[in-house]
Amino acid sequence: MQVKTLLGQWRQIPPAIWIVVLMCLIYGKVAPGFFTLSNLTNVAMQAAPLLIVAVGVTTVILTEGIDLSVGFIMGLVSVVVSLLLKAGLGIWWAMLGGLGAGFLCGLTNGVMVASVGLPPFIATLGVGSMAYGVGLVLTEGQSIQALDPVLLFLTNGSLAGVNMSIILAAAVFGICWLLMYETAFGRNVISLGGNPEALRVVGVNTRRVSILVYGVSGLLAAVAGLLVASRTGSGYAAAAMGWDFDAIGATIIGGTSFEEGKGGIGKTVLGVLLISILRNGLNVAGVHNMYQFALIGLVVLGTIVLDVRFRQTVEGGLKAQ
Amino acid sequence: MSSQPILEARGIVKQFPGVRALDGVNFDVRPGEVHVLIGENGAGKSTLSKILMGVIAADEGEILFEGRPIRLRSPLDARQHGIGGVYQEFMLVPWLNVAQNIFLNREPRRWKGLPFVDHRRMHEESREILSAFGLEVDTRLPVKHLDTALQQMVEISKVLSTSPRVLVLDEPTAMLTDREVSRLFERIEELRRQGVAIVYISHRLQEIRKIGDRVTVLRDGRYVGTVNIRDVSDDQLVEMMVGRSISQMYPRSRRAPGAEALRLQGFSVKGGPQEADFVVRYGEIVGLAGLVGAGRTELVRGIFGIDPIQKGELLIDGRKVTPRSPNQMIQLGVGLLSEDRKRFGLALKSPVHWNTVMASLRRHFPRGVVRERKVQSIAREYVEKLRIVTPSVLRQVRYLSGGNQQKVVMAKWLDTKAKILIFDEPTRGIDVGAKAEVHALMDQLAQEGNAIIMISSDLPEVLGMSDRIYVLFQKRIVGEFKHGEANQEKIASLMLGIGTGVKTNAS
Amino acid sequence: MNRNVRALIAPIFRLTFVAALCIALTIMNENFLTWTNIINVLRQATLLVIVGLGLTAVILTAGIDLSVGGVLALVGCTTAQLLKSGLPIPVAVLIGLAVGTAVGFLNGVMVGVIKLPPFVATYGAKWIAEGLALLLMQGQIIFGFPSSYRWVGVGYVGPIPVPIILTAILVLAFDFFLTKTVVGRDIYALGSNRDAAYYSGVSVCKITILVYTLSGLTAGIAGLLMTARLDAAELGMGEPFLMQGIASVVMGGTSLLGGEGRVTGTVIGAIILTLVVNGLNLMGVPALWHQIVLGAVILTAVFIDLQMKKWAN
Repeated sequence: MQVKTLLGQWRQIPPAIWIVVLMCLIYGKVAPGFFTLSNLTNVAMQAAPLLIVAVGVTTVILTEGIDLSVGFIMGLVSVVVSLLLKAGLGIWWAMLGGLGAGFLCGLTNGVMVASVGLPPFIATLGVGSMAYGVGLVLTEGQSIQALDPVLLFLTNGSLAGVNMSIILAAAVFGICWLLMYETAFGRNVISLGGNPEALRVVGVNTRRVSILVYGVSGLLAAVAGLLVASRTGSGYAAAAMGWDFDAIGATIIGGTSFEEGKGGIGKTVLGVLLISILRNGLNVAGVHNMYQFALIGLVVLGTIVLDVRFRQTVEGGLKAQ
Repeated sequence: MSSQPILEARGIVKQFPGVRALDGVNFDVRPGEVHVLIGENGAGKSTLSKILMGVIAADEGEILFEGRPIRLRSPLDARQHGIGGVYQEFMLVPWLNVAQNIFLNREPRRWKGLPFVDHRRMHEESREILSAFGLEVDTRLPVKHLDTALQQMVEISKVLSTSPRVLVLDEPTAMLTDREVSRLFERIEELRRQGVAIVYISHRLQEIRKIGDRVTVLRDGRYVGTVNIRDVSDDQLVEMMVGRSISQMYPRSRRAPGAEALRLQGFSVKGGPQEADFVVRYGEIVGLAGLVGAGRTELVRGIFGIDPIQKGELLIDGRKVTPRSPNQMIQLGVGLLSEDRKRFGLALKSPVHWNTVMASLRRHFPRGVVRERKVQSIAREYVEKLRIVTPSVLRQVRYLSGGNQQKVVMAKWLDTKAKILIFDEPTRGIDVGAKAEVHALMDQLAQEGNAIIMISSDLPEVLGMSDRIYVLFQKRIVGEFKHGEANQEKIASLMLGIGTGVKTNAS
Repeated sequence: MNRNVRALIAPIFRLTFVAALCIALTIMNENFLTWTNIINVLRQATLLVIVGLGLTAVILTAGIDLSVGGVLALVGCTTAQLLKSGLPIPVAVLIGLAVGTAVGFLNGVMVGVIKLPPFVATYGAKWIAEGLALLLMQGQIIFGFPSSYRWVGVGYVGPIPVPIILTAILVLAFDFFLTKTVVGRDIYALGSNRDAAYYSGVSVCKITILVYTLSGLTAGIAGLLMTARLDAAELGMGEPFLMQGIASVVMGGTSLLGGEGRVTGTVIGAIILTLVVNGLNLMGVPALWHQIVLGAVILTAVFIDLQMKKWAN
């Protein structure tokens, strides 16, 4: 605490914020189109599905778990929706089916971790790859067209001048915020990572909390999967490869850590912004797609390194190991 | 005081791997009394309290609540009977705020039937609960940001706010300052008048006299007896706890201190002792006394290259050394037997033989190729020499008793052939028999010409074992005694900062 | 004695599992128990085994390396490009291996010095490695290597394929290194209790860097073998190895908590996974299904392994 006051206010600003500011400055210079309203809307639209998945991943990480299946779940959901549409089901049923599939995958993750006792990342990687496999088998590895107007409206439509996907992300985020900070569920999530024994002692069924957390993460991945299907107008098992990395990166850059349930979904917004601005800026600046892959990995990892360093100085906690 | 016990335990037996923690223990507590449970470390006090609170289940015996047998399968069961308590372990959630911790899983709701928490009421009530202790804490702070004393008070407030009928307090004052201790005692007095039955675990005799009515003594997991506290003297209590009088306990062969082994000059460690001057010679045992938090452990961690040195000098055999890592210090012939053997001493899931050579592999196998048979025979020698009770050196150390685990750690350091050995709380949590053996071994090591630094919270041990004693208070060395000059009162008062000229704020 | 017998339960169970799989496959398909097919299975298993070697060392320290697939692809693609550009084989191979080792070293620094959670550091490295591979390949597939290079992947010494011999040597070397040397014991000590190891003079930092570097190296070797065998290098070639690699290690009885396990177990784990794939192929199950079956087998096998260990204690 003392160290914190000594270091002064400005040094408490996490490095992620500096990097966002720096990126904006650079992009403003390099790419004239960056600071236009339409482009900023673009950033927000790109951020929308990522924010939705990342919030789910954040809750899982708060419980000292991990979810590597979200990218696969998103792909599967886009496939399920497209196939249900193709089979002639109404769009609402199709979307419900997709959400159900995602939620089910999430719950399976939870059962594997909390009841069966598998290490979280083996469990989620295993379930995720099975979800991917199901997606592949259902589509024979092909992309399935899904040009339903309601589905497309999620990306193209707007309400009161605001793009639908932004509204959807904001709504999802709002609901999650209520869940996390206004109800016992959120307190359970934070306690499960912080001190599960304390939670057990007051009579909470920690296993159920854990299963539910993975379920929520799966459900949110499913919502994001709908947005991806809507944007591409298709269902494809590999549509969201690598999204898990972005989501985990956004969570950690934001300041949620794997220890003691520290952090929160509010912080993840910052991480999501960083990644989305980075990606959009690279596009606007005309950097070729091929360079983006490695560059984004580099920036995300670099920010995390800075962030770990930053927290070590602020907390002055250079203990033995 | 009413005479009917509200909670009673009969013939409780609890077996842990390698140790019989409780062996036919009886205990009862009546409404409106403070029943103290005392015993040495490892006597089984905490195990018994956990059984009473439903955290762990007894193997045998029964528990009666208001005369009727009950089963406590979980802490929730206990809570439903009105049994609540403060555990020795940290039971707060670090990143939840004070109010959230106090109201964990019983938050006030904003609207009936809806899951939304009424934050305003929760904070208000938390403030009321805390102000009953005279605490002005911002209830919106995460408990992680409070110091340990405040955390402990939050923990106690959390239990008291559930209005328990039986209150179990397991060493609640360990982390508290004077002022908070007296507030806590006032509250306990108040609760007693209201008819709450209180189980109070401690090993501080003064404290017990202040608030206790009856006292039950445990020794090595066995029930020794229950007495009215006013009917016994401190000496009698100690004898009940220890089983013999103190004077016979500590072996001291004739020792002849030789050359200077290790010297500190103006030694300051980050977050630890400041400006320490300190000498140990070969062939002597030097005791370090002080309260928890006085800087004893930080001092030796500094010497061992774990915590960074701020200034000052460390000389080993007269040569200046800057400690950088344990690895370097081990090569210079220093060994540190840490206070927390499970965390810093042992690989619990590894067998005895690999633990024995963990710090000395390179010495045995300079060419880098390990022969497991040789390792086993080395370990077997130590098992014999230190009388470690284990069916085989291939046994994982987690299955050994505390005393035998400690001996494995000692074997590890002996095997480095270190000439300067630092023992941090070498007999904490081990039974009396093993204690005597550890003492004999330390005596023998000193006699063979090793330099030994011993940290201990057990004053009789410090007095009995040491050739010289340094006393630390609030990160400073405030006194030095030779064997025979010191007595319990002198050291205790220095430990508490009396007569040191340093401002007191610890009990 | 009783306890020693119990400690053998899990390994015996694993071998029984392999035997049962073999018997089942023999009954279901007459082509299974042929010399060609057995050799084929073993040769297919080699890549997974080699990746699993370095990974075992990492997991023994209670770490994890999620970058193995990425490194494998990066090394394969780098070497392929260099060979295409006409560099002599030894130079291209050495540069390729150096790249893999370098990524591993960086992982080690991030985990050991900067103290990032292993899983975050190596996951980041995975994406960077794959990104670099993408840059190198520009979306193409490189094929057609000199036959002297391909010999490592497809050649024979007598009746036995070169990759099997190479793998056997590597397995023996790793097993010796991990169980019979001082550094190997330090790795186990570090994984059993990091703090206690540090207090006992183990150079935690150096050992951490070492195991991740080794993992980069073995993933690189696997990358070379794979390009040599397929006579091609492509971007996605490392993909299956992340999950199957970790699964082989865990199914082989190495604990993700560190300090417990052995590379011989990893070999068995890799063979089980390869047998499953082989069986699916022999039975004519379409490749698309493999992902699902493998996921299920891995989850089940890890579960059974955990149960076995619980029971043995």
